[in-house]
Amino acid sequence: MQAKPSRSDHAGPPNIVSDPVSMTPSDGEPEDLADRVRFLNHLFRQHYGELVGRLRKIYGAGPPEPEDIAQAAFSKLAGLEEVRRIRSPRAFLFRTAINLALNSNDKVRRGRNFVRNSLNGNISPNVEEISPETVLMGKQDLERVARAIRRLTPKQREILLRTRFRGQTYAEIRKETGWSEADISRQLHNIMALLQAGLDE
Amino acid sequence: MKTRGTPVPTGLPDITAPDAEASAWLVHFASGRHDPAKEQAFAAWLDASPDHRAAFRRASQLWDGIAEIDGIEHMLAGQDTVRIPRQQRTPSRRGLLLGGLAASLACAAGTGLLLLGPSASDPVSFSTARGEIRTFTLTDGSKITLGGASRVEGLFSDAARDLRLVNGNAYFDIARDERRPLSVNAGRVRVRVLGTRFDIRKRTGQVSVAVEHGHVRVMADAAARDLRAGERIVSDAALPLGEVGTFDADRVFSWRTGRLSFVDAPLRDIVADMNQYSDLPVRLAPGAPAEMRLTLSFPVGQIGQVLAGLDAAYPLDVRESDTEIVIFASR
Repeated sequence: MQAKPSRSDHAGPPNIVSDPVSMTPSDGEPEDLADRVRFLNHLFRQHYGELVGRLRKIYGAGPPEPEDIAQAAFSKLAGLEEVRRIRSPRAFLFRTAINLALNSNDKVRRGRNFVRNSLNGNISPNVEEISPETVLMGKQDLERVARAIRRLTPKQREILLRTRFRGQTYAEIRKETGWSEADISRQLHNIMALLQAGLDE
Repeated sequence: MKTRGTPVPTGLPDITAPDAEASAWLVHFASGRHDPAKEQAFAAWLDASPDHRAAFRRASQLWDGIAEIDGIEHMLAGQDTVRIPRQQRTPSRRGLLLGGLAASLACAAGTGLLLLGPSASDPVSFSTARGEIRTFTLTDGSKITLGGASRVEGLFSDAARDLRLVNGNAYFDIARDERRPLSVNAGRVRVRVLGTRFDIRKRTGQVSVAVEHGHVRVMADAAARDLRAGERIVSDAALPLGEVGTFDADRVFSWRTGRLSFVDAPLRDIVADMNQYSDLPVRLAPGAPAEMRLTLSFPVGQIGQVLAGLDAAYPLDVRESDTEIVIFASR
């Protein structure tokens, strides 16, 4: 599922990036490669350790192994054209790593690709959120959603963790928890409704 | 188990039809089920109106954006640490911080524990939702683990640690402090300790205390008994303090790892404990065999399956509606 800016105040069609290498850097000057490498190294030093720690909280020792998806998220970031324009590298890296982890489950990946292609008219399925302008949610919206998440029941939080972050299918969740698939589906409907309502508060 | 009709979520906020449909599609694709007919229907729905497309983008954005929330990993997979606030007593103040925040505060302080300041006198309040088992760590190193739908309140001061089990059950692992004995009240039953590990459970009309380590004094009305490790006592309306007996620690403490175990226990008690964890309230209908004795052990997440099994194996009729699960005597 690719997320792109589709803010209500955003005029024109959403900015769909179909090619990770854009032709003209924004300032018209090609970026100095050595500078770029230095900057990427700096980001790596600054964020890698914490990113692995955050991922470990969600996946334990894996699979997927936190180190592997953290590395892969950095590769994605290194492939970005305008890497300096990422609003929050920390949030970008974490979200990218989580989405890479989701894609390690074939069943979930299939659904995500299908949805993305339906939405964006069959662009390459490997293109995933590679635009640094990708602003999924503003700071205030994030805070609203966080508030709504704090109000969820422990069971709802568990289901959100397993579906959105661990990429488990209902069948897998049922095996591990004993909750019926109908129940999981109902809970996830409620979660979405509560988060949507939280955004509108 | 007999189920009536399809559950309809109620009490949920109003959201517009396209938004609700969009999130229903999103939930479907999160299920991991491959259904070509559904995929075609989704593509048709998407093409039916620009509003649908916009609504689906919003829903996807929300779904993906959850991963951008700072500290989301603690909110969803965190363990809470309770900080006893270091300030004069404010009755409405809750000494409970949610995982992410507490963890970051603890990091900021460079320690997992903040020490009680001098002349502190702080109200504390911990509670769990139905189905939740959670351990709270207090600033003196004591730990309190609450079972589902449980609440403990009280006051910590320099002179004493006074807590009250309002409902449910709790396991206390209390740091020894000669200067500040800890007492827990559960209705008419009071437990007093210097430092120990024990479990206390409150059901309607009944309180039980089981000691794992150290010793405690249990008082009810004018009666008092001293319990040592491995001993248990029950208090009920008929008998403020019964005989001191022994107990099977594996069974009594198994709830802490998310398992309920019963040996020859009345159905009434089993249903009471199930209600700490079941999504839907479980109720015994008038005439149901509340005193029927059963031996069972099951994970708290599998109450539905257990009830279905009881329905099949015993003269019980278990009926689930959207709002509750009711156990009847079979006719």
